[in-house]
Amino acid sequence: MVKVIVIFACLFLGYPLFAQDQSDYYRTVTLETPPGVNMEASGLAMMPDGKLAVSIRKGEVWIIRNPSAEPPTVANLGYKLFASGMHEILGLAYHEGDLYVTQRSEVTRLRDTNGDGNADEYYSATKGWGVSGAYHEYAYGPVFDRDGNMYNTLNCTMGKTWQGAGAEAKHPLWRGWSTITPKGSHTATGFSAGFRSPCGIGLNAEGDVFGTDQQGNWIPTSPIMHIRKGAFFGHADSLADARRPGSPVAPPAKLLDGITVAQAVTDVPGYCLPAVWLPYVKFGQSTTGLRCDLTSGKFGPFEKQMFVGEFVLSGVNRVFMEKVGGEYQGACFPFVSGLQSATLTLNFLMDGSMIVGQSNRGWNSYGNRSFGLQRLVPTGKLPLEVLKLEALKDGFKFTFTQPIHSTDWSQTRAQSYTYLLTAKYGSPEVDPQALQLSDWSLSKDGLILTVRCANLRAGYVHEFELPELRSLKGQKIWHRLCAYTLNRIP
Amino acid sequence: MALSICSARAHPLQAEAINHTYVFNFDQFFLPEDPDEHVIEGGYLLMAELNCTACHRVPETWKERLSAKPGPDLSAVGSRLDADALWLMVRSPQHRKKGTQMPGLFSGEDGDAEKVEALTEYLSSLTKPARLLPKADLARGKELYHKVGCVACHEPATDYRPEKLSAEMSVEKPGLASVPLALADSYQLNELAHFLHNPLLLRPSGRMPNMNLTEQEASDIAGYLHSGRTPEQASERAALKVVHQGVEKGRTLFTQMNCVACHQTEPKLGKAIAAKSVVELKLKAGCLSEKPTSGIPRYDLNDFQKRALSLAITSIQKKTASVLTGLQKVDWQMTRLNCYACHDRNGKGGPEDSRAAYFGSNDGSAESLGELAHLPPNLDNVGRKLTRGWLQKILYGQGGSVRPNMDTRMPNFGQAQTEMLVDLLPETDKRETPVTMDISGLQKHHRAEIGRGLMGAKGLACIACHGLKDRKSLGPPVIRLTHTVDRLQPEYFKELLLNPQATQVGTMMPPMFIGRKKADQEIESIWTYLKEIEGQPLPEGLLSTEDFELKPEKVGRPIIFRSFIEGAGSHAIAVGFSEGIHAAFDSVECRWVFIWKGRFLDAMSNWQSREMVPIKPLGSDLKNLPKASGVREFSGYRLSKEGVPTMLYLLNGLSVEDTLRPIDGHFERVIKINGQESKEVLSW
Repeated sequence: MVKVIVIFACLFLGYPLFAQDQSDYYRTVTLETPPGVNMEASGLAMMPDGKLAVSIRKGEVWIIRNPSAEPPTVANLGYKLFASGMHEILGLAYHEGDLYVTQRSEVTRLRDTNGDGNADEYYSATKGWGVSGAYHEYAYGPVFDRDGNMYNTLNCTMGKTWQGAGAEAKHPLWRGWSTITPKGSHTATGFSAGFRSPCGIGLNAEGDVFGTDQQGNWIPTSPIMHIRKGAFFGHADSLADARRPGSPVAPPAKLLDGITVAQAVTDVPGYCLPAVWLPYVKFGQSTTGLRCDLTSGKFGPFEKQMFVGEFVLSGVNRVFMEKVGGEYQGACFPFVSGLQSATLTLNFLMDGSMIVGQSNRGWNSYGNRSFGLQRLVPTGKLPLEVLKLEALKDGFKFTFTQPIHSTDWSQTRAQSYTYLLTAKYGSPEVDPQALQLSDWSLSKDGLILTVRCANLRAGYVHEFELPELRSLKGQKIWHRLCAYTLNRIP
Repeated sequence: MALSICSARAHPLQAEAINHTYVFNFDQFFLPEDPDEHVIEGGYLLMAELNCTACHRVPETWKERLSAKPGPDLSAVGSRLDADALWLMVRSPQHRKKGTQMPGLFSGEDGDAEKVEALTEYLSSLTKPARLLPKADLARGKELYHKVGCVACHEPATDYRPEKLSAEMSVEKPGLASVPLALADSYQLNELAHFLHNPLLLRPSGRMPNMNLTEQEASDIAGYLHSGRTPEQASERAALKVVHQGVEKGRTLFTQMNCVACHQTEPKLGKAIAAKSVVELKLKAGCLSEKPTSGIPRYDLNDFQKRALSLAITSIQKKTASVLTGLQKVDWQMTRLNCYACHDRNGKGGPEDSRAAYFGSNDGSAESLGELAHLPPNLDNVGRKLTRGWLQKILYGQGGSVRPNMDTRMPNFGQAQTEMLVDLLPETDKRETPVTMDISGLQKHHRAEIGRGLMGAKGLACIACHGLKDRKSLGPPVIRLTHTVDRLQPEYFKELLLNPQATQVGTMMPPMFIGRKKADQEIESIWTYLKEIEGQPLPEGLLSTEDFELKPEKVGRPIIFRSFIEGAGSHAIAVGFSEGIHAAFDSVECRWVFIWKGRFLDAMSNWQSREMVPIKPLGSDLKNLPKASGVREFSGYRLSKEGVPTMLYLLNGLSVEDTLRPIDGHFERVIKINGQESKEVLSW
């Protein structure tokens, strides 16, 4: 029997994320939480008055009056329970004066109509997806686009369904989909399909909707997808609903199991590549919430880039995206890791610090606390990092946060690989090739480095581990690893 | 003579016939396009598995490697198969059971009829009554057959769909042919059940291993394999009208024709007659000739098998020694026993995808473990992972399974076939750079307690994924750690914890100890805790220190709780009042579904367990309320100052406000439709 030969890339690089002491650049402030409250923070929403709303998994919403207070004691922070009794809230948003939470079965708008600081109106803002009772049917969101349309992401069904759920036990609608609830409507309908466990949904600086997913069947490694109408991202379970009349997704006639994602683009009509793959283990194991840095530089040099939560490494990764041929693609970079618990969601406070909501419910994480809230506060020291990695028609362009010294570029370790689209759990890196790099050229100001690559491959991740770089001031580079998802060659 | 055809075409017995003697592991690992250097290994495998050495001597240095396997024990075969079935099998095994490894001995059209009859009479005389096993449940038998691991080697039925196969995917037929079980439906039903319950009794070779079935389960599978059976008649036998030959003649022939080389029937039968030694064999003669004459074993080898055997025989004739390293010996035995049908070790084996689809899991919350939840574990480094005692437990069928969420069972191949693995594995899998681990434990104070702390929710939270004793983990059902110190070698335990991904291929275990300065001591403390676990408290988090029962009387305000609630569906809203009466609202049907008294609800399932099992009202006097009519759509609820919810919904387009409020031990229900208010009292 001929076996598919799969070459495992060196999976274990010794966790390059733990490269340097991150506290040089970002101070970690651990927020004390009220005693007896499991602050399994699943959603974080900034209110215009600087208060922070926090949703927790067991169905409550808390308001923190002074989220940036230090020392971060319960008293200084000022916690107040705002709403309770809801079914597993996994997302929270503030929109046009109101808080919206996503429960298992609906998005609920919470209002305090009498001004006593407690929600007294729980309004069903949207519903319409199926809930069969299977444990894995998590629902995330919402986010609102420029026009006020609401989006959610829904896990595919895993585990045992429950007869008590009635018709929804037989067919829970829109599982493994992102949904849209047009402004003015109260019904969520399918928008794009093929998700497995899309734990994060958020907007980029342009207001386009992005989602994250987690490795498993049909999802080879953690992706970041550009959620747009009619897209199909590979998970088979969502296709039943794609055949419903009026579905925006045209289902492929046949899903092929075990071809590469690069092949799938041509062989499985309708299949869409994510904008960015986050290589497994090297960038953690499960992406969670994502948020665009709109702090206008208060959080550091990464303005308008996306930050993505990482569960197992209890950290955050960074993503830069550009448009090539009208579609998003880009690169990921390690950012921080080793927080106290698994990152589930993140946001930015008024002062430009990042707030990270945490819970390692259901899975273990490197950070061993069960839950919590932490802030990452910039120290003011500018890290030396690859700010942007852009694709060129014949190579790549690195932009640094500070001018660098040239170095022996032949020390760069670089390879490209792709993944399998398969019903098996995840995919190794397949068909790896060392990148043939030449013509390294550093700009006069020391900020921009270009390199030619003789073997660019569309549909492949192009991964770089740069040499030990130093800035002109002698500062060492913080992270040497970066990976560009080259869906298209410009 | 035609094969009996069942009406149920989907049945595994209807697998495509194989037209050569079938050795699963040969077809699995050898291809005609392979070079001679590789094919020769396949030749050795055929020599061993087809029992060539039961008759043909090999030089001393080859004996161990090419040892024959004991054939089926025939001491009570007359109870299992009737005379016609026996006659057909003796007359032409390849015809009766396509693909069988049993050679035929009668190839002529005539002359042999009397011998066949005599052997049939003899074998029919060997009977032993067997205890009646429980009545079979065919549907359960079908489930079991496809789930417990039979289809790793045997054919899945075409009318069975593996549970976890996505609705989008079609069932894929196995690429590799299946081990034939074409004789199963000729067995007496009760005898087949006995055979399945403990195959090693009749087939000590372990090639058909013991699947650890209960008597009921064995009976169920037997029943399933028997379904659609048509009684078999050897019409040719009747037509021949051979006169009665007598048992004694058959007994003599059984020895004379060298059946005793492979089969046991009775004690004190004659010994096997040695045929030519392998060194003297001519290729293309004897068993390898195009048409073996009557009395010479006929195997129905295909050209590729003949090539492999010829290469092997030539090599044995030239070489004097065959020295295998320990690793090679392990690989050889694992190949012969077909461990590779289920397990991957050092890059070899594991079920092909089409068969792997049948390996399921009985625990929904295991799904997120992916293949680890249903596929048998990878066996790289298993010799340095498991203790000798645990290896024996598993290989000798004395328990030791730690993955109860898997449908598939680890079979028992028998001690005789596996003890060499227990001896060899620790040596072959030794680590190159030794890991040291101090397991003295008591020399440092309170180490077990430190270990317990580390395992708990406020430590490294091992219990997030691992259960302990009778407690489930907080997350997926990863192996419970109760027997860790009996099961794992301490050095492996440490190696794994320090660097999980590098130590165990495909593990999902997070690297909890990276960057921890006291990792060594901490791992040793966890080991100590696990060693002393009897009588120790469980790690924090597994202990239910919190009371999850919701008590409105303590809060003083109504408690609203949305969840999966028995009787009220997956979009339920329960309201508990401090007065001790409660109600459940179904937000899909938009109606109060039932009311009850006493205790309210336990939120444990919702807040703590991963599976989120639907919860039941705790109290008493549950009263169901009448069904509602009209088109209804839920809009939410509003809370009064006292926290009493008013449910809001549309009824045929009109807005409704629906409130239950406790008054004097009963509910007053106030309904406002488009501003028109009405009241009713619910007392029960």
